[in-house]
Amino acid sequence: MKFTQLGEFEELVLLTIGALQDNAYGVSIKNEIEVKTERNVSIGALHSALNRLEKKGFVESKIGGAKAERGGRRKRFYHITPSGEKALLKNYRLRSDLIRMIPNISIDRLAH
Amino acid sequence: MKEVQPSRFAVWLLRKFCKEEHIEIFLGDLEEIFLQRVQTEGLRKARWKHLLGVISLFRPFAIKKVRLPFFLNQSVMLSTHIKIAFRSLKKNTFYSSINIFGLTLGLAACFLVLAFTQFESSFDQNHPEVERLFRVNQTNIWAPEGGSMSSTPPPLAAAILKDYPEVEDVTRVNTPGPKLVRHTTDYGKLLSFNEEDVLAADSNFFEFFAFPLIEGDPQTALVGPNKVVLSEETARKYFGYQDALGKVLELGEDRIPVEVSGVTASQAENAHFDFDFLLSMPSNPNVERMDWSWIWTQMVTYARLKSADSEEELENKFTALAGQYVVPSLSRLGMSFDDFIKSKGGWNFYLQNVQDIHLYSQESGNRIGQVGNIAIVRLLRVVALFILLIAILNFVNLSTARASTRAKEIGVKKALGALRQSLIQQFLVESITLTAIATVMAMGLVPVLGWIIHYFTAIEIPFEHYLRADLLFWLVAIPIVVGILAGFYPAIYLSAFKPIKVLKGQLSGGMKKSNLRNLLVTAQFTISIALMAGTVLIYQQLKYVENKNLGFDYENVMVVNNAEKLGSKLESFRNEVQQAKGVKQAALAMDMPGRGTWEDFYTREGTNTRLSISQNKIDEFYFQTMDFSLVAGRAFETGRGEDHDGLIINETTARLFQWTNEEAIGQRILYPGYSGELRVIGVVQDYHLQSLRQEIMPMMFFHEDADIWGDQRVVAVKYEAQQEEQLLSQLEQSWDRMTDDVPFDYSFYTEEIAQLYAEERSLSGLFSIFTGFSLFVAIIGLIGLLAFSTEQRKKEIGIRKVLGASKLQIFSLLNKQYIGLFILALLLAIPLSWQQMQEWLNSFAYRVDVSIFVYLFAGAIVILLSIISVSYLSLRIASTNPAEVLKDE
Repeated sequence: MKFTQLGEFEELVLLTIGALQDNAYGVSIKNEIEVKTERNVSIGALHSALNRLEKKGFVESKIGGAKAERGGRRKRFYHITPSGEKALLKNYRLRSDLIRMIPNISIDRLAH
Repeated sequence: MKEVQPSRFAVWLLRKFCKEEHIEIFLGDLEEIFLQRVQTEGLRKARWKHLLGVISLFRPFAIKKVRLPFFLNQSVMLSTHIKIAFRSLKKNTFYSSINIFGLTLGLAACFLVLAFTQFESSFDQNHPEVERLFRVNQTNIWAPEGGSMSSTPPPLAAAILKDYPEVEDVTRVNTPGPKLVRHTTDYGKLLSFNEEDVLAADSNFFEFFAFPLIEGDPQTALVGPNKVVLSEETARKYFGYQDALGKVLELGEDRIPVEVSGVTASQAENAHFDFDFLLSMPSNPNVERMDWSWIWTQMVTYARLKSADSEEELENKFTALAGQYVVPSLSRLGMSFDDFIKSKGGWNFYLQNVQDIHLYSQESGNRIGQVGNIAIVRLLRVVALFILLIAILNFVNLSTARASTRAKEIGVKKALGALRQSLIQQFLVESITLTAIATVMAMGLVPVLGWIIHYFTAIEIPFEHYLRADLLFWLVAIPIVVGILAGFYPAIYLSAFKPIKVLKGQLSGGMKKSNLRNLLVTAQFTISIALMAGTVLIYQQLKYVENKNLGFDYENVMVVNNAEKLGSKLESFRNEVQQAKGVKQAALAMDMPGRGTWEDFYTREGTNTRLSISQNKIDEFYFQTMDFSLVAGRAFETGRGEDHDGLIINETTARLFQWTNEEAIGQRILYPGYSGELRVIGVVQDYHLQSLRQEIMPMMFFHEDADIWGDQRVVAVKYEAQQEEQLLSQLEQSWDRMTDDVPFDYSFYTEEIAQLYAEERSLSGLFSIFTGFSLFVAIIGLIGLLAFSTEQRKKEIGIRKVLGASKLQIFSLLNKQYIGLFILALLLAIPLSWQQMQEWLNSFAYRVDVSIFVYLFAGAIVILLSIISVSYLSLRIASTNPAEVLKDE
């Protein structure tokens, strides 16, 4: 299998899906990202990313959960696949390795 | 109440482009976000962002695959033709884009009008057996000059059902008026709303009209008193997502408990009425109290006939109703039938098919909803076709003018054995290809134009009805029909060239047939000038109407509605408002001029002149607040007890009672059952209650303490300009302190007055937009023609310059040829449109006149705009260095 790259936004979406566990669908993912990053996410960009993630095999989805506040329409729920987890961990290791190489850096500084 | 829903257009758009498997998920996500945003950002913003969301979903992965129509790859020849068509398009980008752009606008205008027309004529198609379903109208007994109205009295329905076997069944709808509704939720929160859209109906209502219920049984929902069927939105408003059935709402000041017996599914927009509250008929006790009266016209009566064919026959039989029922009913009121109908020409009843109500009720109106206007639908159709015609003429003009550029190609083809037929085919394929591109672009443009029209005129063009039939069908049919219309003459013209001549170069360019072209240009500008004159006239009339002195001062007047809910605290509320900062004067009245009126019959003492006079009840401060002008006598004054039985009449009433304004003072007017002696104390200058389409009606003011029906329902507040916001919050505070959870409802009176002319304003906006289109299309065509003819005359102009012609001379040389055509167009436009404009104006009681000035002004605008648009081109040619164009010879 060819090496599949994980884009910055895709990674964010993938992480959020993981964090939301059983409740990861379009709106909840969008809201979560917007709260956490304080930036606006267009629904088109999100679905486009979800579609790419699914094609790359990082997430799988199933349909369910009709709700009146959606006009009785169902949702598409996403969950991470093992290869998705692997991609996340790989990115995580790469970053933490590199961060450790930067001298005098600490997460505490973010507090201010 | 406005419906809390995303814009239909956005939903429609998504469904059109999106792959089937994504639609549900996307719509669901979007709607969920939309509902969140409605809470935080308001409906407008939420709708807008919802649309942006849809647009953000235009992504390759989500878009449907487009399939090409089958015939495009059938014929080898066809594919060659198309190839050549595209090459010639590309080679002449400038001229092709003029053609495509013109056709795009013309087609877009046609699509818009088609969508609008389809929607307007789709009303009330869905009711069961609708072709046998009729509304019963009657003579308008309340207007001095008669006419017809859709309001009828309670006993009519039973009478026609009993007397005429042709009638299968009848039902009635009544208008109890707005109601204050309260409900305490499960969490103990008190909800209260003033519900405007309240109707009452007989128990068999649902057998007549298609309002499917999602909760409740249509058979029994309206049986017995104190039952109500809610619209879905209303049910949600009070009960959220719980079942509404069986729940109880408290209605009106007396908090009468009403049981929810049904909830309708989302109601169709194309029905002549809708409702939020539909009460069972016995819930409005007035109906039973008045069921003997033939002048209590507060009902709408519907009849289902056994056969639609018996309509005319039955109408003739209805003439017997007046003698049989109305006469006895009137004598019970002490009135004489003959006096009553003297000026109205009879008391008749008519049938109107329910499907015709929306478009054909200009006179009779619609007691329970809005009506459309067939005249506007027709006008728009004509205007849209004109725009398309202008675009088609552009195509004809440009193709024949530029024939010389194709001459060699045609000559070679013919010399190689091409048949004329095949050449015609080729040119038609070219025009069809061009139109096809324009069609696709027009489809994209329609929503944009629809949005512009909505923005400027508030006319909403419903897109779910837009080209309902198969999109693919239209995409194929329109290019073929319009393409052949536009391409036919050029194809014949071009394919007729003699090969030997054109190959020898004897065809001296396309300017030969310039007479025809001049004719077509004249036709285009005749249309443009006529439309422009229409726009100018509508605008003039609108200005006239707006500036006409209404007879009182309505600027800076705020109205607090539902004042009767204050009960005994009404007077102290007024006093408190009077003291508030920024208030010049506050007054109480039954209603504001221009809102619906209440009429009854009054007699001049000593005569039997009986008049239907609309009435209002006011306090001593009202005249000062609204700044009415008195022409005789005085207004009500504080502390004069005799004023309680005083009347202030308008000039029209005085005239109809045959008094001069001065004579009227001190006269008695009789009203059966009134305890005291009513005397005229003042005459107020006539003012316009209704829009200027209508004559001024007789009206009068009672004192608020007069012994006559009606509460004081409004507080009129005259305030100092710029104080609105601060004042509103003060008023609301006082209101909330003095009432028991009644919502504070106010309006600015200027806006209400503007509403009277809303139709003229919409029409003026719509007409301006379409006129703009037509002019734009005509002008780009002109630019194309001029560009081509100057290109041809480059050398001639070069030589003229060498011989000493000035820039100005060249400039006028180029423009001169069109000025004559413009003037001809102006002269033609006058007789062609004068009649129509006069007819439109005749629908106003107060109007401007059509004058030659309108045409001169319109003509001047069109000519100026055209010259300015082509002047860049003319100036560029006029200032070319002659050496540039002459050097190659």
